[in-house]
Amino acid sequence: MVAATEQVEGEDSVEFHKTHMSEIFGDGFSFSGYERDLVKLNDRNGRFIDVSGISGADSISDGRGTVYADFDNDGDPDIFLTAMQRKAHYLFRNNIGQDANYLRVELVGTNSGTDAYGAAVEIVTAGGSQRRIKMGGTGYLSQSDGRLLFGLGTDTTVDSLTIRWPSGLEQRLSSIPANRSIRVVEGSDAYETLDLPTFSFPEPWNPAEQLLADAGLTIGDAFPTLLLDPLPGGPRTFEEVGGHDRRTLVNLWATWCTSCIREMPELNRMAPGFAAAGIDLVGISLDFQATDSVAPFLERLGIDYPGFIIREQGVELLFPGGEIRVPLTFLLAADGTIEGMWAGWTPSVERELFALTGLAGAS
Amino acid sequence: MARVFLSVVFALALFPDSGLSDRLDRMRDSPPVWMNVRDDPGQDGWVSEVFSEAAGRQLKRLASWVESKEEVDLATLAHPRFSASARVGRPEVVFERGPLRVGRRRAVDGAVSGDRGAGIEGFERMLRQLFDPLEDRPQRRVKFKVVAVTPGSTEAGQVTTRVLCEGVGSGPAGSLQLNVTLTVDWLPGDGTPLVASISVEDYEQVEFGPGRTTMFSDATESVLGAEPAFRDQLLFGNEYWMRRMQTVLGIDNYGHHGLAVGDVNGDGLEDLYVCQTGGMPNRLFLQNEDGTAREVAAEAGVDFMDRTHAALLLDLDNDHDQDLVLSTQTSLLFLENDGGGKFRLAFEGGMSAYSLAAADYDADGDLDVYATAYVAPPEWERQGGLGLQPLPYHDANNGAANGLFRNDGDWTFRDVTRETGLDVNNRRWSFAAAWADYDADGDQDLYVANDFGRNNLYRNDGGEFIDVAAAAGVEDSASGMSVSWGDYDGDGLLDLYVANMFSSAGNRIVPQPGFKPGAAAEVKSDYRRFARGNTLFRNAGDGTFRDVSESAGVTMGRWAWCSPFIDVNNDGHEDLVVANGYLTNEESGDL
Repeated sequence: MVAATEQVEGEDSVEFHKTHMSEIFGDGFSFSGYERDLVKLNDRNGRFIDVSGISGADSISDGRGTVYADFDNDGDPDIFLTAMQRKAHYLFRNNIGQDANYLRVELVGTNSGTDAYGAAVEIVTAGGSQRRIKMGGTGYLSQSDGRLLFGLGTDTTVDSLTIRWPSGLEQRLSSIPANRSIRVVEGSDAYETLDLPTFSFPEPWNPAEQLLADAGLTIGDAFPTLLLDPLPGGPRTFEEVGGHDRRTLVNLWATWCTSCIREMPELNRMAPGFAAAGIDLVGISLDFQATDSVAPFLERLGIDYPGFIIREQGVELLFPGGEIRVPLTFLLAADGTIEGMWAGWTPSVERELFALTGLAGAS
Repeated sequence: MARVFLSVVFALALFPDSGLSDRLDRMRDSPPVWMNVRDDPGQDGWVSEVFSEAAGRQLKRLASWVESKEEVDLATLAHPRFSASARVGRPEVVFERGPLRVGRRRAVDGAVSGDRGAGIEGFERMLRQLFDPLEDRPQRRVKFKVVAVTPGSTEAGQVTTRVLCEGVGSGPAGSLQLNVTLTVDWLPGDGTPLVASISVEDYEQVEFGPGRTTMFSDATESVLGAEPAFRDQLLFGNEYWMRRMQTVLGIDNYGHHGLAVGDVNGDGLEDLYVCQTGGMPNRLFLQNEDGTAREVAAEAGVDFMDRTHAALLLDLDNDHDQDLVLSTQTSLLFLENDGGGKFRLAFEGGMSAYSLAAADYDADGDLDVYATAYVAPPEWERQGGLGLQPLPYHDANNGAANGLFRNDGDWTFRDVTRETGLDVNNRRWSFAAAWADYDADGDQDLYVANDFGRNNLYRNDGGEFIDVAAAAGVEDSASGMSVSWGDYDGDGLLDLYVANMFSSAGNRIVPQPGFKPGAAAEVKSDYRRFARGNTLFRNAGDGTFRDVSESAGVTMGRWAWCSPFIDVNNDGHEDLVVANGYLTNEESGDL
């Protein structure tokens, strides 16, 4: 290979390497990027079927390490994945394994060492036999659950279980009912049924919760000082809005955001109610790249509460992941502490914001 | 590691030799230019690549037609003389369990008569039939990939392509995935190729539901979202940190950070150790019984800020708690658990390593640790990622040496690589290793996956190792990234899955007569193997393995990394999960 034998001289510095990497990242182009992780289902006939698209585990973040573990002890394997770009860590909760029966086997070695890595366990059920080994590291940079989890499908009993310990000892158990965790000690004839803490992972967040999570702020944080440009005829600084003892409702929006277009006229209608309740409403446009579009847009929508346009530096404070997601609304106490956050424009957000007015009909 | 660069070398290797030296000259004169290999296939003399790019653009438009049915005029995609060569039959169910159903459809030959299959209308009729299952799934996406290009035989200008198509849709009817392989013939149109005929090689449809959409849910935020360690650090990818951290802290540009699972505090719940890049603390998440987790790395004494590649949780001193081994950029750290989840550094091995794998290779009742080295990082970094290249590319043997550390008790570990025979074939670029007694003779054997060439299978003969990869048929000469053992076929014998790189471009170019015309047949075959992707070896039970990758349908793994066997649906048959992707950035164009 000519390519491989060529040496590049005179450029062998860390600086040079950095330049290349900056180039790659700075250019913003991808290299085998946007490749989804795969989930391939064993069809029990020697073939694996690609089910990635319906797996819910096919992230496009450049996956690296991947471990499986029954984290919530509910009898099926969950997956944790590290990735290089975008969201760098994922926990995928298994939603399908609980449809089937299982047996979990925890091995405690004596002569084999307590962990007994390398032990092989074979089970026989009506549906056939399965063999697993306890592995101290597998795949790439990954070590998964050392407790062996056997999916049993519809089988309710494990007819026999044979352990081949690293010490050479072979041990056999029989007639073990499904859906339990057992502990087997090397050389001991009986097994112990474990009473493990079991729970269900919390339901994944809905998109609004996700949006709040992606924002760099949370309730209790001080709202950051943002560099803002005024709008024609509006207040020149954020401090000019309202009085010292009043709260502020900050609505982040953008001209390209369709939910904002629905939300802002509603907020405009609620503004007098907010004012009466001691809350000043302020809109902050994220259109820092198209500042000229903001005033005409507001005029078209008939918005008359005060507003500003954010400068680019502020966007990073609010959206550290780099992805702007609006609408996003903050309720600030008089001292600037975040008291409430709302993402998106849904009936429940509308209800909750209206409730701030304290007007009749607000629940 | 500079995987980016190395794969560019691979890309260079795929070009005809004439263009290569020219490219190397350009690399020397103006370094950043080497990244431009992605830009213009027309410069490289591969007419087929130019065609493939043009066809790819057309298929992208076809995908948007399937997704939205609007904006795309089918007359600009198909040739007026289009003819459908076959229909697909009704799906035959091949697998059904709970909410999951798999059907295969076969091509029905000669079923298209006269005008019905012809012209633009015939094209539309065929498309509607092919993608009909997506019709009632309002959220859908479709992707085509050209994996082979050959000159057609019937008329001038005709080109035949092999195209992989993946369609995914979801809606109230549940979710659905189509895995379709097509042969698409093209004829020249006005400046762009037009589809002249389509025939179906393989058609698989997977349904899930109704009433359910995915087999897994992303619960990352609902479990970890409240933890500052997650919100402030783990949520963000490499690009974010590269813009904020100094290189001197040892940030790893390539995202090689692994995970270890174990019950650190003995409460019956599995905990998770998360390795991080240089300059960021590693994290230890203990599970709470309410389904959330708390981050305790600092209290536990394991919040190392060295660039950490891998971790193992295991009982090294047989006192019934989980100790910890870390592979950092500069050394191996052996840490002792005090029984309550607090750790102290008990031993340090001076080796820079990637993957770790533990087993009791000498059957003396304690765990020994094998570590893969890939390449010596200080040298690599000093050379700016360009000086030290894998030599020769398709069978490199100039990486750094892997090490086996024998547990001698009292927290001492001795490098026994040489005396155990593991120093043979030990300068390959090793990313991963895994132990298993594949020959069922009672001792632990070791498979090592190597980038740029052949892998190792070290058979353990009473504490001494012999590399039997060639004889066992598991050299798998390619870009090994990951290795997993499992009994996927339930015959009681341990099979082997090795992750490599799948390259569409490689698949298109390497089989052509113009690729390295002067090279020996074996070298060409090596390169073909490099582009093929992942490998499944079925244990034959006589000490050898059979490569069943093609028939098992597991080669296409993209740019693959970790690739464990996991029985995701608990049906007693091990499935596969493969992490994929090298570098995702704003712009999607790449090789």
